[in-house]
Amino acid sequence: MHIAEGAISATPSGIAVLVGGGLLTALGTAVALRRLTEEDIPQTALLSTAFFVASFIHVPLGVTSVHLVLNGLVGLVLGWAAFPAILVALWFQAILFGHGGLTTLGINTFCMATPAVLCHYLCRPLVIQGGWRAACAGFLAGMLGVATAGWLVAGALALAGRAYFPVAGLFALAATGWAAVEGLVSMAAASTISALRPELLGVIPSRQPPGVAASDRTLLAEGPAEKELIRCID
Amino acid sequence: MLLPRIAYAHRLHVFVFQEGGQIRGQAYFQDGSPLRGGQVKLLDETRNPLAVVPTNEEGEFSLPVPRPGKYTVLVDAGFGHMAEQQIDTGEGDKQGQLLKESLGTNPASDAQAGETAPSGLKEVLGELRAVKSELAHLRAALERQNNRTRIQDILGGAGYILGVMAIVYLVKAAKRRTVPQ
Repeated sequence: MHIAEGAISATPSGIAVLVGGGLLTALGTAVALRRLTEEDIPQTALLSTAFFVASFIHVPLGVTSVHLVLNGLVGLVLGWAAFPAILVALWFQAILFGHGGLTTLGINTFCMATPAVLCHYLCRPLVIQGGWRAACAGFLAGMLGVATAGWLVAGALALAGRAYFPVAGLFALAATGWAAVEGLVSMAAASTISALRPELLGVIPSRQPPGVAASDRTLLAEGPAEKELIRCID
Repeated sequence: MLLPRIAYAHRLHVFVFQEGGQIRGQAYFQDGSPLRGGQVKLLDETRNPLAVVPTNEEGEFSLPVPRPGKYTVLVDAGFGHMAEQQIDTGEGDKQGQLLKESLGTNPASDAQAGETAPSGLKEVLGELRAVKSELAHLRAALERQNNRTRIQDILGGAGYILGVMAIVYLVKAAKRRTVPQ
């Protein structure tokens, strides 16, 4: 899901797309860093690493191969922090492995982080309810994240010039086709996170006794013995 | 993403060597997979295209050498994914020069020199060519192995990300400490 280094820098409109993408990414990252708290940083690092590693796991499919993007899941968990998480991951992919490039870093980050933030706000009402709703939110986020990112890349290529129209169409088509698989993987991940660490998704626990931390409340509300304990605390 | 190889932004590599009157080579991606159906151009010193050939299923290609000199082999995988390598085919003509001196003849190339050489010398030349070819293939395999993405490289990258995030954490913590409560 990258635009390659030097792919669109030959035309003035291509340069405008690169500069515009860079500025929008800088803006998004600035907003994210202002909102980022110290408590958010460990999960930002974890999701950034997952995004970085996922793109190396290629699954051969005929003469083509596929790999996960996971931007929907990143956005679902992190919200605006998806901008710095994806920026850092793409930076290291570019300088260490030549995936994408430094001149296209801005536009590539914008195309992947913007759908992530959108997924966060769209799926948030569903994911905080936990259970099967969190799994559905994961599926939707995974699907929407990769499909929207593909369409944004296609839009960026189309803006760069008419010569890129065929490749833009290919990107949009491929992203739409891959969305279901990405959705299933994100659903499994969201379901697991919801069961093991619901506080990462902001899941609201069923009981909220005063004086008990959010994570503890979620754990306490599990079984009958724990419910009795909550009653005693209350 | 589900895309043909040409639409990946993954790094492209090319390895070229001279074998007889041909420039041979192989183009492949960072993950070691060959570039199938890529376009290979032979450019002269002023970057004028002299020949264009496609890569085969193994990413291999073969270009004719017009005359001894310095050339650039440019591989285009489409959509801005390119790789190039220079090659000096004059170096490969040293064999022909040696033969020229030993035979007192004026062969146009080492291949022609081989045809006019005495049988003993022909045998040595054949063996020399076989060794050169084997060496070139070994170098290609070694380079391909070195360029391949390894698990320790990926883990290293993941470590860098965690390091950057740790720096962000330190900066945030330092800011919090300096802000009066």
